[in-house]
Amino acid sequence: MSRISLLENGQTSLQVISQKQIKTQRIYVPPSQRPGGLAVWREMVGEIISSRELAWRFYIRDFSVRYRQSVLGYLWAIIPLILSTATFAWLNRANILPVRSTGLPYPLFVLLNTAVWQLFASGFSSGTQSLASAGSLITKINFPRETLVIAAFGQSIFEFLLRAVLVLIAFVLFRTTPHWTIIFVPICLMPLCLLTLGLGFIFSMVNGIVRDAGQVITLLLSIWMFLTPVIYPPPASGLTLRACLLNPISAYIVAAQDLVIRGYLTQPAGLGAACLISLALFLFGWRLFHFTEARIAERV
Amino acid sequence: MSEIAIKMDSVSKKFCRKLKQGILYTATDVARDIIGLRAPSSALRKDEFWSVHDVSLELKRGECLAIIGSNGAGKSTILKMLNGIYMPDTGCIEVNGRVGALIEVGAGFHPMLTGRENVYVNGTILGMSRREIDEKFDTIVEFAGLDSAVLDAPIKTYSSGMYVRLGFSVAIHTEPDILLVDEVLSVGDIRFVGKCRQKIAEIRQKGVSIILVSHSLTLVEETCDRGMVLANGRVAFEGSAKAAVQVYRESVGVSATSERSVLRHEETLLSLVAGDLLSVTGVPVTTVTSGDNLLLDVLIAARSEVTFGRFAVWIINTVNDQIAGVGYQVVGKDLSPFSSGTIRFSLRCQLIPGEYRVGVTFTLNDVHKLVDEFQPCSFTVLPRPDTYDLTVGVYMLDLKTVNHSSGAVAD
Repeated sequence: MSRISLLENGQTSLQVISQKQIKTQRIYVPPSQRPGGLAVWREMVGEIISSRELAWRFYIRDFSVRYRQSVLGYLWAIIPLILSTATFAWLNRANILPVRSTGLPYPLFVLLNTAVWQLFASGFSSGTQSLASAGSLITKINFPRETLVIAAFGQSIFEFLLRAVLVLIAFVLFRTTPHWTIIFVPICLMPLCLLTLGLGFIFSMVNGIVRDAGQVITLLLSIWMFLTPVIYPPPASGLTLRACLLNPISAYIVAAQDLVIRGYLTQPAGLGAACLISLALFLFGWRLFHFTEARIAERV
Repeated sequence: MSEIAIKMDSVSKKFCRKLKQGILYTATDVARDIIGLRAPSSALRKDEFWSVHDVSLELKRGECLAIIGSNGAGKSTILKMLNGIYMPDTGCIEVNGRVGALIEVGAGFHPMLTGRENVYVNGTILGMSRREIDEKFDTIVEFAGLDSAVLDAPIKTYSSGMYVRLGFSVAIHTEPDILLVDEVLSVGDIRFVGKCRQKIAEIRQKGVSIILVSHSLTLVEETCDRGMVLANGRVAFEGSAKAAVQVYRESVGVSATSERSVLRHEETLLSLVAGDLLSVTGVPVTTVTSGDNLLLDVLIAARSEVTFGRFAVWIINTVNDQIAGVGYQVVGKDLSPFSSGTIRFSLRCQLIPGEYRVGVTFTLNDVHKLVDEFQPCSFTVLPRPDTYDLTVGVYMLDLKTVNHSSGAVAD
């Protein structure tokens, strides 16, 4: 109240701002005594909504900084993809890496799958690094840390879009027409994004506490890729099939393939399960992040 | 709206001295949080210590409180808790209003971005909306004293002074209800420091509550109504700012006579055992004449050969204001590696008459990593015989008449 009376001869706009600000009240208690239950979810959603501008700023910042000192710039988002696809295509052609017919020219098949895989893989690893690489920002300034993870994932989405354009160009070059259901691919990949964000939330925290996490995940992702039907079609039977079914990423890759080639889903149950797992992991990761956020500044 | 801006209720915060052990503790605490077990936050585990212990304080709207204390007393930890960066281990903190922090200004700057971009990013991090930044942009730049040509250069090309000034300017324009200030006023050139002090006074006039952490006791006395002295994480004294400064001065004075060597790093590379101020003839002195050449001997006990690190020599006055601070020789660059023994500095005392203390600090190459410093020795500067008592300021000009030619004065 005194504040407002003090501002009486100040500008009107200033008064409005200060009235808004004065409402903010924060209470800090030990992490173990923070309230739980539904109220927390409301708080978390509110925090995301109020910090969307910051997440966007971080995204723009990373985006404009990323390739500023490089000559090839954004091409770096697709160069590795082209090279690895070329390598696999060559191995396939030389019959070192034989795969059964996939319904698409093999290079196109690899290109499509890798693009989807990279959405997950690069989102996961950059999410994991996001807190540790923010450094002094986290230890000196208080702001919603979710924004860093979200902004990091935003980069992966942008790169995915660049790669998607490359895939479409490849379709034209190979004179292949995708099935019209290709338009559903983005919807089908949304739960994959949730999964990636959820894992990003969890492992950015873990990596904030122990730096080994980043290394482990880089290693894990390179093995994981070969266990996922990225460069080969989904197996029809045997142990690899079971490994595939347990792997939510393979459900998304298979679903994307189905939508592009066939026009119907070959593993709808698998996709359903993957969606459920993704949603659960996302909610768990987000909740855990919110929970642990308070302890992270001491450790980063 | 309550009249209380900040309320801390018996708040404690502990840290772990060992990194690996700390990782383990954090991991177990998080695991306990998840399964719903209360972490035993009120007890100390092995290698832990209380950085802040059972501190309560209340700050009314419009009040200005100073927190003073030696290094490691827990001042910065309190500020970080009030800012929500650290959570307390016990107790409760209530903060009413938007908090602005001048803790480490420019922390959010990205070296590759231009000054302009960084103002936007940093402003958003500090909670300003795009429109707010648009409105204040010119004021921010003007306050920082930057001309528009440098605004579109990457911030990594800025001098450290420009960097700090811009960071300070963004932070201070966030229109906070509560302002936390941590020692940032000691950076930048004198003109900017003056501007900052003025700005803070202006902000006070508007009824903003301020918590100020500073080693400049004059600033504390000038600016604050209340003062709190912290020692080892506990409140040692609370009262008016003047009384708090008095208490703190006495406590420092007492410890100064006991041991010279204080504040060590965990793994001590070397210690500065003693230091002596000598006249050019090598005789220890406590009284010197302005303009005298002096020698400063520092006795060093090193565990092994010291191959890196840097020295700084500094002079403070009786109210702990820094008169001079010279980041001096870098070991391995300007100074060859050395082991235990005496290092002799020579200096010319260009100070106006008064009481001073001179000290030497040894830091790692990262100047914030203090290895050791010795409690400064006091000395008195007497006036040069050819000057008289209109001598003012801090610096004693080496003033001489060199020539006199007679003739008509041209108009």
